[in-house]
Amino acid sequence: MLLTIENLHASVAGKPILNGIDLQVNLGEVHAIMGPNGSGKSTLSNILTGRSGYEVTAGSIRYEGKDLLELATEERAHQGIFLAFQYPIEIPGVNNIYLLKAAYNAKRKAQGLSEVDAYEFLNLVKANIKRLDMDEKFLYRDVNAGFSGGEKKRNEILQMLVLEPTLAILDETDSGLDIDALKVVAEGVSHLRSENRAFVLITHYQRLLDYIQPDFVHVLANGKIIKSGDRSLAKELEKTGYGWISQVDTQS
Amino acid sequence: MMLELNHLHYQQQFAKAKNVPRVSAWARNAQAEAFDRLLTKGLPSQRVEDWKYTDLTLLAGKTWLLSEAATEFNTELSLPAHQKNLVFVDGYFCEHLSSLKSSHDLEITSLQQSPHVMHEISEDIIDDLNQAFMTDGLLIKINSLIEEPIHLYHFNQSANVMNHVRHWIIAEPSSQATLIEHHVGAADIEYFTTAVTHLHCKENSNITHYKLQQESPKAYHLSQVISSLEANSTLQQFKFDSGSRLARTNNTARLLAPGAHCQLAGLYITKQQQHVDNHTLIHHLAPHTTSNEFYEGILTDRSRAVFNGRVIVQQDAQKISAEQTNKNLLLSKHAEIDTKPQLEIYADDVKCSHGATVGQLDEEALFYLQSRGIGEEQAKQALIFGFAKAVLSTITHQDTRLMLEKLTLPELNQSSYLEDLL
Ligand SMILES: Nc1ncnc2c1ncn2[C@@H]1O[C@H](COP(=O)(O)OP(=O)(O)O)[C@@H](O)[C@H]1O
Ligand SMILES: [Mg+2]
Repeated sequence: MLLTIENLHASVAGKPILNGIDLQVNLGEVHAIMGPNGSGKSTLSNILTGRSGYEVTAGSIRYEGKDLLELATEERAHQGIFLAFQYPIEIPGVNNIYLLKAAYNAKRKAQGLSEVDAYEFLNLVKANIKRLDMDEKFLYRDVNAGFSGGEKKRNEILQMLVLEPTLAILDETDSGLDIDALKVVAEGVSHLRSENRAFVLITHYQRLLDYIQPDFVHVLANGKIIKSGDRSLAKELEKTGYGWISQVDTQS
Repeated sequence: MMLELNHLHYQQQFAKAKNVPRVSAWARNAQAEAFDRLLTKGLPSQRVEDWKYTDLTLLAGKTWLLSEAATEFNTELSLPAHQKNLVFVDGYFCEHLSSLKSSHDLEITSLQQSPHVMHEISEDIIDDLNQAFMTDGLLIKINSLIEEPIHLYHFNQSANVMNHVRHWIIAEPSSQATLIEHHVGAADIEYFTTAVTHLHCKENSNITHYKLQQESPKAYHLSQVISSLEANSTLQQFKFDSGSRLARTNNTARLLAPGAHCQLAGLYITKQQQHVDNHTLIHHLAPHTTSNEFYEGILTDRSRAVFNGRVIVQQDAQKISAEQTNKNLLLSKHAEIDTKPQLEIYADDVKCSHGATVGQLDEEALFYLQSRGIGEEQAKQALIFGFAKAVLSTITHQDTRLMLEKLTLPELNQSSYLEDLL
């Protein structure tokens, strides 16, 4: 098992947000997590990447057999975890190519491999830039600074393609994208999809799932997975919306 | 209101200063008057508003000996081979070390032989000190378009001495040049230096002035820059501070005629016990003049910096635009910045803006980089350097920007901010 989340409870500023999440992800699988705003989807992805400010109050997360919560954020990245941020951060003064290369080499170094040279690396990046239909100029611009919403999301996918994670978590990467951009993102994911990787796609809409067919769909509400199923669950959600959730939740 | 100087000691030093040749009786007089003013006034204490945050007590209490022309040179003095230099050691011009020679387009003469340019009654204590004890200086006349930067390289190698250099730069109409005024000290010695630079930019001239202060970490550096800009002249200035135990610069730009434009930028990087004070004054004395000012600071450890940005718009000086920004990155809870805009606007058709920020590293950005696998230390350095790049990127000349970036990077590497941060 690549990722095992058991009974995960977490709070932010003393306020409980996650109320007992159980989730298992195997290599080769694509999981979709859907749910209304505020249900805790980003909180889960932040906890998986080790963002500060989130307190795990109960439960556990195991990744490749290790206690994930023991690892520093950068160590998690070295071991293959990647989060495409819902709101990518702007970093004035640090350009994209620096970020990509530093991240790529940090991972290689952690794996005991030698750093790649600049030329080799640039070729690798350029191949991926093409795949995403991005302009090479983006490489020399400051990370996300002044990028449009769609450009930021593409930039996240570019990083994912370059870093080739084992577990990629995409937090609402589809939100705010037009249909062409959505296809590009889906194409990026499909390109990486393999038996040696797993994806967790956090999304609000079923739209993305037309392009990336998930193996499992989970519904997250009030910090809990209240329903799991296959692809058809996403279709069902599309029809019924999230209105029924509060009822289910109060029943349980 | 003042810190009294040891009269006997300073009189002895002044006796030595009088041995430095002065051409005219007039110059001798000006020197003697400056010395009288110095002894009468003493150095300003912190009760003087303009010196509120900068304490000269230690400096005033030391018995600095007037420096002498060096006969041997410290091995740390290494002159870059690829650029033309005018070299000063311990405040004395070293012609034999200087590769830049006077020419028709660029006239270089000793300031001692040009008494007329000393003619300026000072109100500034730094200027009094400098005039009284002036060790050496150059008069540089820029007569046309000078491609290669004029590098004024000041190297200080002797401990416990004071030296006082003074330059007068005249940019003739429609001339163009880049000046790099560089102050460097041998490691780990204590000395005191003053540097006064007058810059006269005549009509349509275009001058870029870099002032790079990298004195020894134990040095005291007081400097004054006075720039006068005539019609349609442009001055671009970049001030870099990473050295000195205590450094203070009084930097004045006077926009004298329509079309004059100045851009003052600066970066100060302070650590340990350093204290760096930049007082700037942009004086709009004529209509249709514009200015733009951007200073950034990176402070670590227990260091302290002061930025005071004064802008005066004279009555009837209409159609003025003046922008000022000061941004500071505080990397230690013990570091301190005092930043203050000081706008005095006596005209009404004026566009003025100012803003100052003091902040820490952006934790979100730090997390973002770490989430990509970049280690905390490297991520922090990338962010700090990214911060510095905002002001460094105002340097349009690519080679010079690179030079400044190369000066900046090691300063950030050496700092011990990690111990204190977050
Ligand atoms: N840093 C934070 N500070 C305070 N509240 C937070 C923070 N992060 C998340 N929350 C709260 O936690 C709940 C879940 O938020 P989030 O995980 O972002 O939901 P989702 O991604 O599903 O929209 C919301 O009520 C939100 O207000
Ligand atoms: Mg969210």
